[in-house]
Amino acid sequence: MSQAESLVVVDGVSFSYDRQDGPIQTALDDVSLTIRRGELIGLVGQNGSGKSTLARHLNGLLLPDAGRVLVGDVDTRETEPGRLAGTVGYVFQNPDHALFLPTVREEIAYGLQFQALDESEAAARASTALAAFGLTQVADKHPASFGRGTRRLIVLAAAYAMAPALLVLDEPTGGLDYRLTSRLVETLRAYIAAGNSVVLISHDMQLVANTCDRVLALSDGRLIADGPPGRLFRDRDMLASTGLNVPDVARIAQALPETLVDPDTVAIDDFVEQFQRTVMKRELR
Amino acid sequence: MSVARASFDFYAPGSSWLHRRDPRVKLGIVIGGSALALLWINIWLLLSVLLLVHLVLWLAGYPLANLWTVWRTIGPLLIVVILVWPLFDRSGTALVTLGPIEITGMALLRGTVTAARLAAVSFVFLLWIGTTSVRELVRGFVRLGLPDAWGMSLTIGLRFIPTFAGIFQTVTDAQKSRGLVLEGNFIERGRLMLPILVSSLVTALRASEQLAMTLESRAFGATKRRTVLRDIQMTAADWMTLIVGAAVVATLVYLSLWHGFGQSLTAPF
Repeated sequence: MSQAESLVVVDGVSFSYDRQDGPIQTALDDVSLTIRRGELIGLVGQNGSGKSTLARHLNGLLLPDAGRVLVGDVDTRETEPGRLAGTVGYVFQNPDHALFLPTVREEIAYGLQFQALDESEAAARASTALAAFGLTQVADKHPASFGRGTRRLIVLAAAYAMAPALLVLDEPTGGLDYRLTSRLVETLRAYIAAGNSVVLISHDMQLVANTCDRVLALSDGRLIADGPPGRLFRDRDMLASTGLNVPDVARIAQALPETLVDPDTVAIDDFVEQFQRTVMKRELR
Repeated sequence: MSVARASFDFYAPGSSWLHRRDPRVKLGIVIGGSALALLWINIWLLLSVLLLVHLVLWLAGYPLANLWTVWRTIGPLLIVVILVWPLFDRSGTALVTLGPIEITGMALLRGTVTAARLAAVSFVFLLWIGTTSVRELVRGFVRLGLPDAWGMSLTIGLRFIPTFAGIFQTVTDAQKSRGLVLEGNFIERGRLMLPILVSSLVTALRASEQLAMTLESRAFGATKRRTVLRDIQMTAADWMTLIVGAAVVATLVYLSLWHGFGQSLTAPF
């Protein structure tokens, strides 16, 4: 892909927390990467590996001690997170950190007021987001009246409505059942197909394997792997050293003969498709 | 490097003579020390109290960085007191006249005395809260008669100050990520802060509700009597400190009230 398609460039970023009750803690150590249009990226790593710290650099909530982060042509040190929200949307893990308005519709329209849209366009965008996340029927209800899963969908829809080119989602499937998770994945795929990008922070390796086309693995603040999930989940040594587990599908695919299933297979749909094809071929013989 | 304060209290763990004192004794020192600081108007005595408290804290191994933090926190207030005092106190000879405002040496001195008194009381409190953990601090209150449930509420309240500060910061970040830019004049910024305040409150209320349920699930309040894993106990050194401290404070209070000790702005007697 050409450089012109780059959305965010993280260039040699290091960052430390100076804790009052302990030694200085290095959270990111010389991390470099480029996020391009149309990518669905999984950001994985153990607790404390630096995932959220890196993610918060992508929209300028945190600023690097060394190196720089460019959103388009804008250095995050020269602007404010609120001004980048139209380009990089960030959805926090806890939906209650974002919700405060009396109806779902107002909550979803909230961010649009900062984008200087005319009222009809803002209303249309809010309606589209409500429909995309299956919230149209509850648009006039109070967000606090719903369970955590629905509250999470509301904040996802609110970020989606702002149509940022990059959406950063911190553990977006926590509290979502299988049906809601599938719906979210479908919505994200459509969003990617429209030329946008998503960074998905998750501990659910099977979700990352099923959904993402690129995986970034962090360990102790260092970027230790960056590539397609099939390659990453074959590197058993790297996974063992970072405490990440291999998705079940990848484990089965690696255990089976290559003639049956490609050992790089990690997504369940790919596995089923390959398996059926091979078995059908054998049956036809 | 970014500062992420993990704790907002002034407690610094240690095993010094001061750290080992029973929290009730340290509370006594605070009450006695504060009473003297409020009673005296003599600048040299108040500065001596400040010096003595700093010396004791230094000998107790209290971090100088924390002392500096306290100075930085109360410093602006002290400066305001010194500067504002002459606006309301016209006694003495004018040093400077700025239109209707007359600044006298006496008023400046009185402002400085008040600032020194505030600083002395603040640092006397630091003797207690800087060398006593929250657990011991609350246990001290409970042993003085505070009901257990209230003690628990106090512990949780103090323990959750950094947690709620963290929630406030995270909510601020979440709202900034939705496009919020805190700018404009004081009123405008206050209006823009509303989403942050509402979300913080909702998150805090949910956390409180969950904590209450968790505590009940762990049998909180199931019995009136309860055991204590690590209780506090008055030692001989504690009693000695308390008796000597009380005698010193009582003598100084007597001298101050009946013999005018510390009642002159500049001369001790």
